[in-house]
Amino acid sequence: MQQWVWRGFKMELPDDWECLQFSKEQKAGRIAFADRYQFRLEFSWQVIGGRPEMKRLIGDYIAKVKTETPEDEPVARNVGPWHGLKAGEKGSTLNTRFSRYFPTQSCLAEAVFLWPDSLDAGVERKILDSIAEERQTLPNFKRWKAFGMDLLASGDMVLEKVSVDPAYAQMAFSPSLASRKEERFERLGMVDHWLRGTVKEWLVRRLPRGIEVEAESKDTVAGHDVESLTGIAYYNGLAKLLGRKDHYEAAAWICPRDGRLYFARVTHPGPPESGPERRLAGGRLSCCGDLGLGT
Amino acid sequence: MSVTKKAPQPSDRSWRSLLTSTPVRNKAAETRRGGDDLLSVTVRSKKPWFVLPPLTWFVKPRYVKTYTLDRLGTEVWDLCNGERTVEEIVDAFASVHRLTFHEARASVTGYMSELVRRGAIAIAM
Repeated sequence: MQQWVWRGFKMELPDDWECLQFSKEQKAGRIAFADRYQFRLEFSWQVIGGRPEMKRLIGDYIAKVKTETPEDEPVARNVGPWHGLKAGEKGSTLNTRFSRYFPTQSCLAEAVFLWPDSLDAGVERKILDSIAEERQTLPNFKRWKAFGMDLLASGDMVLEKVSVDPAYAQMAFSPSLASRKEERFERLGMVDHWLRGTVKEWLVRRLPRGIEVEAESKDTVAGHDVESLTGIAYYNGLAKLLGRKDHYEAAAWICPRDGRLYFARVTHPGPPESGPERRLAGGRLSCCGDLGLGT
Repeated sequence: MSVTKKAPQPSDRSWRSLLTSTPVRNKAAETRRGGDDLLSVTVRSKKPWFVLPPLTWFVKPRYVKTYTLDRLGTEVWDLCNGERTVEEIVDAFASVHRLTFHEARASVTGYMSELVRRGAIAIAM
């Protein structure tokens, strides 16, 4: 099983299920996973006013399905704290759907499973049991675990951009579009096809314009050769007169386990803070168990 | 679970039939491997309807098109041996490049659709 952490929810999924659709919205959104042949699970969330009455909600829903698609023959089905139904035994694809209210986030979550062959109650139970709110172990950070990256984004940041292509995944966080603060995490595959030169040279090429490098370093962290650099972005005009400058930190390494290049960069107005969770490699971004968060 | 409208449901359409299909090379396609190991594929095209005398008295059009595939395209072409299914090709591509199944599927099917569009291969369902 593989673990996913998305929008404050964590879940364990079969290793061969991959995320093919996602939304980054906080209030309402969805994320869908597929095996190699078709979608298998859609997890959705919606922030609502208060705890709903689940039995009535499911009862109403079953009545609605019975009216609209009677051939689906919906029947109530509960798994632990999840209330739901099973439908489609004779009509459409067999599916089970469950809802649960998570009070900490005031969120109604729904998990919809598709069972193309037959219902695997063991897998269903394992997944539902694993879905929980991700507890913040570090007070000022939110954890995300997706697309091969395990990362900590600052607690005041929201997921602003996600790009996923073959052999490329990027998650960028920012408090707002106008803010100068930004955190970006990337994972790049097929490295031998595009990497010309060393990781350090690549890291330097990725420097945004106007950054003046202050320090470069190379460390071995849990068997990973990590290239890091820090710099300062100076401004022109009035901002320069006011002494405005941004601090830039970046790190990149190739994970010996999966051969992919991992890249983390943080831009923030204040000076860099110290502490193990502030370190980019293994502190903010992890690629594998060897370089797990907190390494 | 919304009770006011039908709850969203992930598409239950399977792409299994695509994965179990077999790409077959165009027998009329001619290939040539360059010094850099990249493959050039020459495919004969149909004579356009407007290529008639007296135009052909002055212009002698060639009804062939040659494409040079990049490294990955060459790999996909090599894997399309008429026996492997799309799924087997995706698995092989994923294994070589250490990609997940769907990463490889997106790459491979992208190359394949380009090869189909150019008439270099056809997909036998």
